[in-house]
Amino acid sequence: MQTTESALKTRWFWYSIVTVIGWAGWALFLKLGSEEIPSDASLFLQTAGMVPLALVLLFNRAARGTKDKKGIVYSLLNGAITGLGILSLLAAYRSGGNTAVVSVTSSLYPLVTFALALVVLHEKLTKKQILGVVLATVSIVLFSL
Amino acid sequence: MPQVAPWLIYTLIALVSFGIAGLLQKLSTDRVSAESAVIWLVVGFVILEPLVYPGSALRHYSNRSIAFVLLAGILNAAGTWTVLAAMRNGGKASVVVPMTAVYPMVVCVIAPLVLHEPITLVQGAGIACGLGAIFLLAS
Repeated sequence: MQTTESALKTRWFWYSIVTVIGWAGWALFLKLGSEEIPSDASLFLQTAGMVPLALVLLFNRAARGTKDKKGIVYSLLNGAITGLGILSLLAAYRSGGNTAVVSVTSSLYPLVTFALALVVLHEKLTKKQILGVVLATVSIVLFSL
Repeated sequence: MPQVAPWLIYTLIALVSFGIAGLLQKLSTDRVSAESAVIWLVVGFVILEPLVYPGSALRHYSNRSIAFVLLAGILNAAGTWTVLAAMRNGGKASVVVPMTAVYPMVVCVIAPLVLHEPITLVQGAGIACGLGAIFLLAS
C-alpha cells in the first residue's frame, strides 16, 4: 500500500494515466470515423493527424538539442515497426483471419514487451507488479472479445 | 509440413512488432527526450504513408468522418508523447506498457454516454481487472 502511494507521487505514473485517457479518446474517435472510412485510409489520415504535434514539438528546446544518433534511430525504428505492426494487422483481417482471434492475439503485445524488457533491459518487477501484468493481460483479452 | 495460414503469420508479425515497439520506446527515451522521440516516431510513420495512400477515395468520405479520424491521430500522438514521457521519467517498459494497454477500460466507461453502447458483463469484468492491474503495477 505504501509503495502504491509513493507511485502516485511519481511523474511516470501520471503520464501513464494521461496516456490511458488519450488513447481512449483515440479509440473513440477512430470508431466514429471508421464507420465510413476503411482501415488503410484511416491509417493514412491518422498519421496526418499526428504530424501537427510533431511540428509543434520541433520548437521544443529539448527536442532540438537532441544529437544522440542511437536514440534517433531507436525512435525512427519505433515509428516504422509500429506502422509495420498496423499494416500486418490489416493484412491479417484481410486474409480471412477471425476478427476475435486476430484482435485478442495481437493485443497481447504487452507480454512481448514485458519479456523483452526483462531480457534486454534487465528490468526487475515485484510479485505484485507481475500479478498486475497478468491482470492487465486478462483485462485486455476481455476487451478484445 | 503443415502450411501456416497467412492471417496467423500477419497476426504474429503484428504481435511481435507492437511488443518490440514497447522496448524501443524505452531504449529511445533512455537517450533522447520524449519530445524528440515523438518527432522521429512520426517521421517513421510518415515513411509508410505511401503504402496506405487511399488516392482519390479520400474525396468520397464525409468531412465529419475525416475530422474524427484526424482527431484520433492527434490524440494518438498526444498519448504516444505521454507514454514516452512516462518512460523518460523513470517508468519501466515492463510496467508502463501493460498499464497503458488497459485504455479500452476508459472507452467502455465513456461508450454508453457517447456511442450509447451499454457496458456488457465481460467488459465490466475487464474494467475491474484493468483497475486492479493499474493498482498492482503502481506498487
